[in-house]
Amino acid sequence: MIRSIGLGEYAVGRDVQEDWAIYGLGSCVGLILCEPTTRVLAMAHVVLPVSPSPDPEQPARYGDTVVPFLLEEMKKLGAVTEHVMAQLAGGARMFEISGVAGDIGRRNVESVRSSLARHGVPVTAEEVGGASGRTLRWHAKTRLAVVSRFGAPDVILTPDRCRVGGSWTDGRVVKNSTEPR
Amino acid sequence: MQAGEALSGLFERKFKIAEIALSHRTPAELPEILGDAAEPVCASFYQIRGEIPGFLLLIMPIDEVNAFLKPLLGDHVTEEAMADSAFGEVGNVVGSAFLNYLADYYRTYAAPTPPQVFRDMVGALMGSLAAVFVAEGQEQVPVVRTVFTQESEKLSALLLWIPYALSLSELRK
Repeated sequence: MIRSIGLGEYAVGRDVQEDWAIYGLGSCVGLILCEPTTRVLAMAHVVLPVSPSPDPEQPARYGDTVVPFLLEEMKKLGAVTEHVMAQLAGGARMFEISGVAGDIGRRNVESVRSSLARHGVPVTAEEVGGASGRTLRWHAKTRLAVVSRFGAPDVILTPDRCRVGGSWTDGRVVKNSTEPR
Repeated sequence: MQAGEALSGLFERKFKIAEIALSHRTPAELPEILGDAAEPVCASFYQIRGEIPGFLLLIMPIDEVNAFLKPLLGDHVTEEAMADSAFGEVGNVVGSAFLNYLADYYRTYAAPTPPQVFRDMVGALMGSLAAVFVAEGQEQVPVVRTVFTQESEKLSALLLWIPYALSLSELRK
């Protein structure tokens, strides 16, 4: 079973047993926060860099509000903020347009990165920018994030040092994880 | 109707308009407006300036593009750069016919930018457009959807006109 996370939506869970995915990321950014010691995971679909208000109705929609919001949600499930790591994908410039929108993709990435840095969350992997769309999937079985692009091979986003095979109980690197394809 | 005639004239074969519909969507609905957001499509994209600003897109499933363009390009249809250029021109012809009709009917002015052609996931394209509308503070997006079909080849192309809500209300005046 795959749970699709739409524009401005998020998911958070502990011992997540279903796959999560954001299909067709363009200028939006898909953000994954994981806390390996407690196996708490969060994923959000960020649409714009800056919220119009400090307390928006959809905090996962904006780059400047998504990180503190997800960290709070993860803490409720027992996550230790100091152990949280981030992975992100998206932020492409799909087309040239004039007006207020400008280069939303680049600004989304900058906003999320900046907010992660402010909250002391390291970015362990990212696949951002460019001019093509991406699908970001979190595979529950392998605990790996994978980025797909049209006409290109899938890329495993999760770096070796963050790979923690099927059990994913203590954050250690587990060799021989199954690579999803 | 004019857009369909333009398409038929360009290809010298009959394209029927199978559907014309206006709907209002939230930006969050746009990535899946055609179904699966990860579906690869070929799209010719135009930003529309003037008195009815918005966006116009001609979209086709990627696996139908070669059959669609074959009458225009012959064996060159497999050359991606040439096919993209041709698809942009088809979008120009169809989109211009559509916009000219609107401009004449409403006695207004609409100017499309040159085409930008994509082969990518439809959700990436529509999601990026959705972000533009959210950035503009627009939580409802009018979408005019026209489906053209060419029965003998079982082809279908989709023309989407997505005006800013303001421009649609201006037209209604």
